[in-house]
Amino acid sequence: MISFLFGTDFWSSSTPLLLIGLLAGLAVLVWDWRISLPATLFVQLLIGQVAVQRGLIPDEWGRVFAWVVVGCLLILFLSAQQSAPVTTNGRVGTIMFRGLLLGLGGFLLNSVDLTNLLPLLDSQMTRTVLWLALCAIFGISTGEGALQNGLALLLWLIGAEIALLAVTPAAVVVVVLGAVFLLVALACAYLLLAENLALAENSPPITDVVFPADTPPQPPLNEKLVEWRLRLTDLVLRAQQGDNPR
Amino acid sequence: MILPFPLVLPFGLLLLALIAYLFRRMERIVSGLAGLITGVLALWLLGDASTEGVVQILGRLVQVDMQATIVRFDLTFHLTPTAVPFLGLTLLLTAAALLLNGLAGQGRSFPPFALALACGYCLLLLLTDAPINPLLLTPALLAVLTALGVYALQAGRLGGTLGPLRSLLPPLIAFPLFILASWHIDSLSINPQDTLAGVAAARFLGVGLLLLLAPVPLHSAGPALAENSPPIAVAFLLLLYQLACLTLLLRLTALFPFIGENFALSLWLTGAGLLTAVWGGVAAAGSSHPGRLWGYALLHDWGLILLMLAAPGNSGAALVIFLFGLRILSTLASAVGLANLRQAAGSLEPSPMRGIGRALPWSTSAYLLGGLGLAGFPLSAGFTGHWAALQTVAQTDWRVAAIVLIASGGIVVGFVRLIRILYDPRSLPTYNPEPLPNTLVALAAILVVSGAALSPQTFSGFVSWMMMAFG
Repeated sequence: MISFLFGTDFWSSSTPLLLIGLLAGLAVLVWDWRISLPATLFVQLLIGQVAVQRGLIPDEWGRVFAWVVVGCLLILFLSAQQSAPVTTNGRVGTIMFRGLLLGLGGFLLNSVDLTNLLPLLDSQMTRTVLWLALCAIFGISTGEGALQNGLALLLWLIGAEIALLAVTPAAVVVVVLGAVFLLVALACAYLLLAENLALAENSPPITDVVFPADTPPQPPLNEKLVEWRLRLTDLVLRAQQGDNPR
Repeated sequence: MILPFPLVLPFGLLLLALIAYLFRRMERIVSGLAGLITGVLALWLLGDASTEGVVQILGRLVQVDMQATIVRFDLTFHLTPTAVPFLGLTLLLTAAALLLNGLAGQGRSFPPFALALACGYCLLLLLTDAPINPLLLTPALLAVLTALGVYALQAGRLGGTLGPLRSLLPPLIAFPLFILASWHIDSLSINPQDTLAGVAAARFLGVGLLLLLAPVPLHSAGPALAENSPPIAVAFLLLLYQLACLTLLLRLTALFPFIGENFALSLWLTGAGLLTAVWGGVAAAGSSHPGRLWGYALLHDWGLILLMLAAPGNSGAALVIFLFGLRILSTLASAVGLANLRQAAGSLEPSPMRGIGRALPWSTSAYLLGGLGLAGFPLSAGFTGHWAALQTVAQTDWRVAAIVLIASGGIVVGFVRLIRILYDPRSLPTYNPEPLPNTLVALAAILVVSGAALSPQTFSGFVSWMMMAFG
């Protein structure tokens, strides 16, 4: 069993692709970060391994992107932790209804001829990458919060990563893609904190760009100068008194 | 000491960004100073002195090697003559945004992020060679810059995250298509007879360009940003992004003529432009929120530019540049006015703004004049551009021109309704009088847009200069 799971036969079969599809669907259907975050991580780990085993991307790049996605999910996890309770605004329909819509999309995707659409990818991989893209677009269109959108964008980028690295094996593409992954996760994590209005009153997160709320009105410059002069005078007095003031 | 220009410019801007971040608590002073430095840099670059590369810093003459080439990580950076106008325009926009931020603060995070973004856009313009065609790498770098822009757009506010979130979508969705197209273009260069590769590349590029340009229904970031985000930050980021997109489109269609042959880009642009212009007008007619109305006016104007991109030949490109030049003026003028109103009222919600026009007449006028300019209202900056564009469209199909004209009427209706709110005589004046510096800047904005309205021929130099940059 174990030798099958870690062998080439398993990775070249359709089972891991099916698993990837199910996990991607789960990540955008279930609006609970405790399920969506691990599901997205497993999507990356599985599709990265499938691509490596099928010779689409080098092993080291697969590992690099696995770590990049781990980093992205940690960034989102930290924000989700801080901004609890998780916002549920903008929920579109029930999970069954969303599942039905996604299933319909999957059916349409399966019925379209996708031969040679994505260069160098076989039919199965093309469908898997496009399914990830469909899940991402579905997640973006049904999710209103930064977490749902962030996860959907990560799914989009995971699909793009496989399609692009297969056709453009250049280090610059790896670096740019990695930067996009991390910056999108950072931006979504920042917006995730910003969308929780109660957060500033309860426990403002330690960040400098910039919470809580707006920049406070600054005192006029002359008032600031007077304040600085007083501070300076105070410092001079202390220096004159030494360590043991009388 | 000889300094290479492709290193000096980005590092200089990054250094400024770092200093602006360190002194962020003195946001306005730092922003003003950074704006002055960036403005001087832009004028130096656009002037004759830059060709010799001699610059005086703190009394010392420093030689800058303008022809230097820097190669890092397989990326080649070099200043080409065609990049100079775009670099100058990018730096001038940055300087204007930073100087205006000095008057009406857009959030402590704005100056460092604006400078970092300017650095990123300059690097985009200086990039001349990469493992894949630099033009096809541009959308991926735009995605990076858009992700950085989120912080300036959110500006430390709580709530209202929809605009910054949606602004991420167009470049993120579009950029993989350009890299996929590069593979087909490489195949085409190996075998020029491979028609399938040409068709596939044209489709990827065409769809990618349409996504990047964010017409309706991908427009939703614009009005959402205009509703909640600081106006000057919105204007700055929107103009830089759209300038990059327009440049990319004009350069790609010139470099790869097969896009037009294998993908009906003109047809798609006409449809998308018309839909965008009409949606902007219709939505504006029903909007009474000053920020959202501004967003819809911007959308309508953008729709007209997209419509003009479909016009064939050099005259279409010249008109696009002319329209974009007028768009810069109208957008900045309305952003100045709106930023002052936001500062006085505390938010852009319409109810606290009732009667504000009587307390802040100059800022309100700048906002209205700039906003109406985006609709091509007579005696506003956008009038000549819109009129010329409508004439061009009418030569092909008068019905399209009539529809756009009716849509621009929707924006005028929206502004007329807003004027009744802003100058409501029944409300009690609760605002302090307009501060003198803000009055002066609003007045300057009014003079500039009025000047552009009265003598649009002053733009002919700008248009021919930019046309030369497109080759």
